Amino acid sequence: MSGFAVTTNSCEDGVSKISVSGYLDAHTAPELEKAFQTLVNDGEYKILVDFEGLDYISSAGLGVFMGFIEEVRSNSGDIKMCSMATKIYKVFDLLGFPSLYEIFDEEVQALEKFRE
Amino acid sequence: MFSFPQILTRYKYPGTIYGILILFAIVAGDLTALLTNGVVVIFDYGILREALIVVSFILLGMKIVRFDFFQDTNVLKRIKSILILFSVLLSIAAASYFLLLSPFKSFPKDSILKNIAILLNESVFSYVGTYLYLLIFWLYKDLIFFKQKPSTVRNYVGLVAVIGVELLLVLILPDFESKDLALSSDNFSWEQIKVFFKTLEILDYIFIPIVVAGIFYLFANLFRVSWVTYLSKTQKLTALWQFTLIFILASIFSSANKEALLINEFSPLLSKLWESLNAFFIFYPLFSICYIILHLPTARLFDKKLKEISTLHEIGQSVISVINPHEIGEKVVQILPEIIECKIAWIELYEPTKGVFTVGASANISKKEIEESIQNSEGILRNWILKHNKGVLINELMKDERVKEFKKLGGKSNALLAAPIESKNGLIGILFASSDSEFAFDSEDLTMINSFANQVSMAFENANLVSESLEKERLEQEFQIAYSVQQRLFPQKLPKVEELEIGAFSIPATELGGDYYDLVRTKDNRLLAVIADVSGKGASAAFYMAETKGIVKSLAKDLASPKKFLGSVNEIISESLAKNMFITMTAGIFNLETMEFGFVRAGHCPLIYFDSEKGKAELLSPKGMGVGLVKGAMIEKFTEEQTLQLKENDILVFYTDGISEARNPEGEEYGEEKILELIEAKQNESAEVLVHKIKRDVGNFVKGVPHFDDVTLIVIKVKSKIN
Repeated sequence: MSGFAVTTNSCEDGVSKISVSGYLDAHTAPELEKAFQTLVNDGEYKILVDFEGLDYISSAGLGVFMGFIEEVRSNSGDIKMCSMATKIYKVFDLLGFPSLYEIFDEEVQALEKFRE
Repeated sequence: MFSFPQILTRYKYPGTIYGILILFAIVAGDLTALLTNGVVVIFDYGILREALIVVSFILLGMKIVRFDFFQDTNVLKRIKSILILFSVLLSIAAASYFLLLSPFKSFPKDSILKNIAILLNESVFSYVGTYLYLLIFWLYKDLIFFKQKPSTVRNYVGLVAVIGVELLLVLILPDFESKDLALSSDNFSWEQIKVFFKTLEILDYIFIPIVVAGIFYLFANLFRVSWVTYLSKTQKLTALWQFTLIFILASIFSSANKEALLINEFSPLLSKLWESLNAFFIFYPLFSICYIILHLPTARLFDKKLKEISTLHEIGQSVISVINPHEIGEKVVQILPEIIECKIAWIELYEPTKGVFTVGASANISKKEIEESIQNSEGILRNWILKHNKGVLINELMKDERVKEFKKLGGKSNALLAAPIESKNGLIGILFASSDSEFAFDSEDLTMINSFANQVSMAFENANLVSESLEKERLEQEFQIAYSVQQRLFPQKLPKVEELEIGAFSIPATELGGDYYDLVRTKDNRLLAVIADVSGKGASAAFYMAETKGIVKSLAKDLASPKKFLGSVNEIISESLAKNMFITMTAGIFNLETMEFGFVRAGHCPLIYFDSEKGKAELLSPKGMGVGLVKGAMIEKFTEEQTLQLKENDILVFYTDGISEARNPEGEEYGEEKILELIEAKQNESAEVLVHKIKRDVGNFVKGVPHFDDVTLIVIKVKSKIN
């Protein structure tokens, strides 16, 4: 089983980017949760999640986004997503996530949306 | 003890009998010679005679040494046995000597009767005496071999070999014996030695190296007295007087036997053997006596050390066998005064999370008193131990700044020992011993309490391991129970529906799973089919799975449309569902009269529909949203309901991602395509057979890789009306 890595960068206009890669399941979800928790604790509510390197996501991994969306939005922030592989998008789509989150093909589009 | 006939019957060894028979033959030969000649001459047939004697010795000796008397390896018992054998030997010698003197005294000098008596006496004594000599030598072997080194065996074999060579020379060279005697006779002088060297012959070139080798090996063996070291003081004293006696007996015997006894006539070989062994028998006791005397002053210290080690070991064992941590503390303070001379002992246990010490158990002082002193203290001593992980010895408590608090122990404590009880995970506690007199402890006591603290820490770790494994066992049992409870939440019996064939199964990846399926027939002739997958795994998923079951069952009683049903499920369950959890679900309702089938897909895997008319299977994936992702009935807005008009032999397959995402060793997913193909190929099979085939196909695909997600499958097939 391939590993999992999560890195956080800050982009322009106060947007924080979380990049995930590898295998996001029940075992690795806590790492992503920690990354979100750190941002939220620091009052960073504009969060972009970059899925470029992600190979697999399980239901526990999907749950992480649900865990934070309410708090983020109530602080007039948002979680937006970008650069998903088709396979990953399919999982999000099946679950109805596109109705809940804005998902973009490119990072630039997402950042532009944050600026609005 | 056994009498001689018992020895024979007990061991059933024919050699003993042959040995005795040969002996009888030799004596009979001598008797015949005596009767023929009328004077005491031994029936001399040279080498043959000696050879027969040696053979009979070997035959007899093989079994006798097997007796417990000769097998006991205890040093003191060995020495005692040697003493007993020497006493027996000397008694026999004395008896034999006086027998010759007294009853036959009045007999005329060359009377045949007197001669027979002399001969018998001589033969029997020579034989038995030699036997005892050899047995004594055998008994010495274990003393020599005590804590043996490679050289021990070499030297012992060397000694035996030299004796053997000497005996051999006696056998083949009769002159050798007289030469030897010339040197070792009692009245030797420088004159004699000079004469001896002048008359050196070729034979002497053999003789001198043998004597030198004999002396060398004799001394090498005499120094093997290390068994003395390991005796206690009283044992050393016992050994001392026993060896003194042995030394006296051996000396008397070796000086007396040559004059009083006639062994040389019976067998020059045996006579030579006695002579060779005499030196060893006299000098070994002498060396032992010297060595014991040298070791007497240190005997008491050695005893003390030995006792400490053995008590510590015993105590360690008894502490380790206790598995209740509280009992360990009680036992420790009870034992500590036995190891170290102290009145007061207690054990304090450390709680790393709070950083405090609590009194675990105490002896001869109340816990309260110590606890008060802990509260009053600045904790200097305890912190020092915590930091350095070392034991402490304080002999003048009143003058030591580190231990102010102990001055409050009402003058009970004037000297103190403290040792940390450490485990690999850090400090467990501290062991304290205290005495009311100053300078009560020394560095030995500190070493002692430190080693004891090590034992105690092992006991605590042992207890922890036991309780951990008990806890693990308990959890496993709980999981087993939870598993069987959860298995009962799945339909125990699938509903009987005339119009449909139904097959289903569900297997959790671990004991507890988050998958759920159900089939409920309603009063208005409809059938509700639900398949659901709670996000995550384990206990939390299992609880929500159970809740889902309750909700589905109660909603099934008053069933509206699939979409309304889903709205109600979401409304009820999202109240209790954790923020980061959700449930995917496909819920469908069969109208069994019209064969209309409507369903919603709440974020779940697509539904597989096989259209019997087209002969094609396809994935149906209407818009949907997972349960718990949005609040209440709002879910209906994000979900579309799809309706199918079912026909004969149509097939519907509900499954969870445990099937579609099952992986083989190469990491490839099973996917949906294979199910579609399989259904198309096996469309004529019954629903139950199809379930079985899909299950087997997935099994073949993963090739033994254990499924890491729960696996659930429902196959529903519309029956053809002809059947």
